[in-house]
Amino acid sequence: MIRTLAICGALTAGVASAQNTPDWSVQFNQDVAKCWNVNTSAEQWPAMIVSFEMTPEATPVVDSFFLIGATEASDATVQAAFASIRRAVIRCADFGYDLPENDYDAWSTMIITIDPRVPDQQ
Amino acid sequence: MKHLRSDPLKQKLPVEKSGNPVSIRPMMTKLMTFLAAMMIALASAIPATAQEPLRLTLRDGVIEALPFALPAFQAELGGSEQMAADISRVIAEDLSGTGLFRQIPASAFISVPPGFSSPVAFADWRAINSQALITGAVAVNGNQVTVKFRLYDVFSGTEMGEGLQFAGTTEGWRRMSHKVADAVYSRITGEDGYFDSRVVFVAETGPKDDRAKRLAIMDYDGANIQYLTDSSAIVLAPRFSPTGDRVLYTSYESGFPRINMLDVATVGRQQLTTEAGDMAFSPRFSLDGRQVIYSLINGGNTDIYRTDLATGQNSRLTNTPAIETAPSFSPDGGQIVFESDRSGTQQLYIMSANGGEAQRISFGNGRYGTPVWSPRGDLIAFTKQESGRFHIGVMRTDGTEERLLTSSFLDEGPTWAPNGRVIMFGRETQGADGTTALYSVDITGRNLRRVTTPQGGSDPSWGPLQP
Repeated sequence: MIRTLAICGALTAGVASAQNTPDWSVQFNQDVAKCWNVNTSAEQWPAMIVSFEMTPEATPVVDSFFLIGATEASDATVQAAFASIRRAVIRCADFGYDLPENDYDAWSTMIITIDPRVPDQQ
Repeated sequence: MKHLRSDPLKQKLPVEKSGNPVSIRPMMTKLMTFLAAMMIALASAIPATAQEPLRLTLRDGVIEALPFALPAFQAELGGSEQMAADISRVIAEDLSGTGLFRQIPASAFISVPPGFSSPVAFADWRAINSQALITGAVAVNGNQVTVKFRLYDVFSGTEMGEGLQFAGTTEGWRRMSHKVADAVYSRITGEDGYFDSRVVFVAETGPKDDRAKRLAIMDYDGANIQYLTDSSAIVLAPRFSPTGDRVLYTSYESGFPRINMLDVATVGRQQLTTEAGDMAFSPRFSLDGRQVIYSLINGGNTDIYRTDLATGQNSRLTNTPAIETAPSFSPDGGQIVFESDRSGTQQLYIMSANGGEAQRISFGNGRYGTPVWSPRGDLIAFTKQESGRFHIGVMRTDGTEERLLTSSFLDEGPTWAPNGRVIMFGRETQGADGTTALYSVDITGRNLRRVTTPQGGSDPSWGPLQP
């Protein structure tokens, strides 16, 4: 479950420690990050936790995205941020993420904590 | 002055919802509530699996313009074709002009919805990497025009919000276009839009040493320009009222600077009755539009004053031998930011709206001036002069996190878009043949753009979103 929550809006939820993070999950994270467009955001998106299901073919189940919670922001901002992360996960799936078939149980349900850094200015 | 219709009918379309399959629980705004909600939600929402769900943290994304497709809005009635094309073009220009969106050319389209209510072939739009799809229709009937649109999130195959319809006169077609663009912008970014807004500024013509200046008002994108004064007297620093119906400005009609207040609809004007003094300038409205703060020179000393428009009562807010000017209210009306050289150089200060002790907030090298409080309340925009260059910058209200957004021979006079995301300012080029122009820049420093105006321009003041 959720292990820690930092104060002041910055939150961390069950981040796997470096030594037990499988390479494919790191790769998955990087793949999603490549498609996550933070440009349409306000100065900073709210932090949020989103869950979704994956098919055995390693594509996200489009109607499974679920916003578990978010730090303080307007509903419009939270919904826009949620839509942006959902768009990123779906768009980058293409023909499926590179995830190990044998470990489907491990990645059949994903929980992503989105805790955006402020993009570099200029 | 010709009125633009300001009340386009906005109504929900009787559309069937597309059955958005995504569950979005009500937002929790308190951290403790947030924690509790997550525990409950996780327990109920995540199906039992053999293993714990995989948990990841995403912190960095990419910065790129979001590709969108906007097939030309359909003409629902004969004779609507040109209007449909024009409205589509303005919506696309609004969105692309932000730098946050990139229009996919029509030549790349695989298919186009045959009708406004036709099902969307999302696969065709995914194939060209269109992340958002805007469809719409226009009907012109006499001098009445109706515009309706829908916005889709292509990759999730869902409609973002419900269809909306705007109605008005053909004369107001640009405003309806801006309204549609504002709605699209807001749904995708989560922020309010700023396209259906106007800017009052000083239009400038003629050589630098004999420049004619008059007040002008235009749409935010430079369209629909109208002149509010002639060029018989120098005018400076126009400032919109919070509701956009009045403009304060400094006029040299009498040979000395005086503050005038102009009614935008009638172009009627009256001189503001200020505290007695030699010269009054740099006015700005309070957020409720009932008070005006300004600078007044009295006996050779420049201080900041406040006048209540209803009672005519004047209050002196500063009282130092320094030059204090360019006051601007905070959005809550409780504080004023202004510039003063009381430290020996021109710097920014904040004080209570009732006056009293001021706190210096700018400490960098160079000189700071023309501060303007963001409508969001989080930032102050300013002009900075350093090492022979001028910059438009922003800083937190405590003076931290200063960042310079522009650099040129002469940039000055920032004004905020109604959503606090974009700043417009005046730029002058060097030399005897130097010209003036208006520019806008995102608060991140990206998307510097020249605003198209028929003549030169300076001293912009961005008005509110129109109703």
